[in-house]
Amino acid sequence: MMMGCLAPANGMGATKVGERAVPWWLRRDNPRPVEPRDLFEILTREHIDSVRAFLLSTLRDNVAAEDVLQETFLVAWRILERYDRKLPFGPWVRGIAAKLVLNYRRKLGRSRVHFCDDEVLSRMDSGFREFATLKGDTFDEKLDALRECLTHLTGPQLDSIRLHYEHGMHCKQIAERLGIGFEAVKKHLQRGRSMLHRCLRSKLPQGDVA
Amino acid sequence: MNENDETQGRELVPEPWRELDDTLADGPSPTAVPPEAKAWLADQRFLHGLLRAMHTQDAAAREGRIAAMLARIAGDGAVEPRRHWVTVAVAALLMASFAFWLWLPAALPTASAAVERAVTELARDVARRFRVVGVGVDGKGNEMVRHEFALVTRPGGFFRVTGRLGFGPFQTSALTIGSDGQELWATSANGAFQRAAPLAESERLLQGLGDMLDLGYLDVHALVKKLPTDFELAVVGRERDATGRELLRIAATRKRVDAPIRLRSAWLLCDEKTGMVTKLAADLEFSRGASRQLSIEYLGDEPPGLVEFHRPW
Repeated sequence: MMMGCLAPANGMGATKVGERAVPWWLRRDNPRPVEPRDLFEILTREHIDSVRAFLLSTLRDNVAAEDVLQETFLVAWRILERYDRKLPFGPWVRGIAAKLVLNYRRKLGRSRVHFCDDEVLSRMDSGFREFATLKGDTFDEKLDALRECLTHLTGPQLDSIRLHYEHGMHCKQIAERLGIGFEAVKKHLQRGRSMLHRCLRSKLPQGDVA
Repeated sequence: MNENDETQGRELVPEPWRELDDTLADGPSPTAVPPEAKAWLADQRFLHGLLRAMHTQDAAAREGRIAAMLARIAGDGAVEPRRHWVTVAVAALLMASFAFWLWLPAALPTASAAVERAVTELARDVARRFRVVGVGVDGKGNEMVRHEFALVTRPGGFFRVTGRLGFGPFQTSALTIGSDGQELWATSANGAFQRAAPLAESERLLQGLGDMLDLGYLDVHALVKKLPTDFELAVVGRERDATGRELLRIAATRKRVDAPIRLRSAWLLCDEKTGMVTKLAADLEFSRGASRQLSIEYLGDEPPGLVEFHRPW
């Protein structure tokens, strides 16, 4: 747990509600109540990366993703009293992000936002829920699983993924670099992502769903 | 990571589904997706987001993001208990007012140093997005033209402008004008209008599109670079924007008053942390009392590969 370092010295640890561990600072019997803003900062630090990744999977523009990210947490702060502390915070705040994305799409049109509807957003959120159960305390540590999966890719799939995401090249540029067709690059990227997805799924703890 | 009924994974999918994946194309996303394709599409997008997030990890940016968020929350105060806030606010105001005069003169960097930093930052080979608004008014204060554009520019003469031209009550349909450093092109949203010309002959192409589309305004790097040559610069203050960024306000006054277009006033805001220009505004004076306000606002870096600067046909 990322916040383990903040656990009090008296040994009071997390308790379980259903499948979910409730951190000490969220417990109702916590003798040292946390100020709402401090609590919110802790929650923000814990979940900002996953919400950002969720938005980057939906919005084309990095700047728009940053704007919606800020808006998401601002809205979350404003309606924090509606948050049911028995439930995990991540899906709740991603739910807010999803609503803002749908509004953004309605406002700015299809050129700024990838296709999304409730079902696609919900499926993507399931992906992030499961991702949260991967080994590691922080989002970055969980990304190690993806880094490890990348080492299993080979040939043009690996090249396409690296050129596209690491070097920021467009499919057309990758096609020129690799001497293959535009459509072939798209297929390599899509197949590469599918293989990474399968590899990540194989790393999930058995029967553990966040 | 959704469970898949097919044991073969999702590498082998019907060809039409691949066209639904709009993460690899510049065009608009599909209006509808067949239900059976949604799981595959969601997986693709999930990985797309993870890979983008992984390759844009930046600890300093993350802290800046959190700090900006907390600053906005502090300003919002919806859930915050309101204890002694008047006392605290008054004390803070007094302290800030007192400290300001002691601290400001020595702490402000010179305008030329700030502009130099901005020029260096703008010279980095990344695509940047700006919002450009030009408003022209006649001598009686009536708004005659209003042009609003989204501008993406990259050093080397690359730019892409999308927006509408407004002349009084009339407004054109959306236009896109771009340059790949060699060729200038323009097209309407529906593709009915398409023109291209070598960059050297750009004036011919831009005739009739309004003089707001002076290419000089679109090369933000060159525009800022020549500021120290053409203008007297002075840092006039320091301010903080809505996201909590510390900004320097720099005023520019034209050195040559006999220039055909007279600059009444201009200012720019520079992010103290990054050195980047976040906003540039100019007030231009014309004959018979007409004037024009130009505003260029920086919206951020554009993800590499998402903007096509070559002509689309």
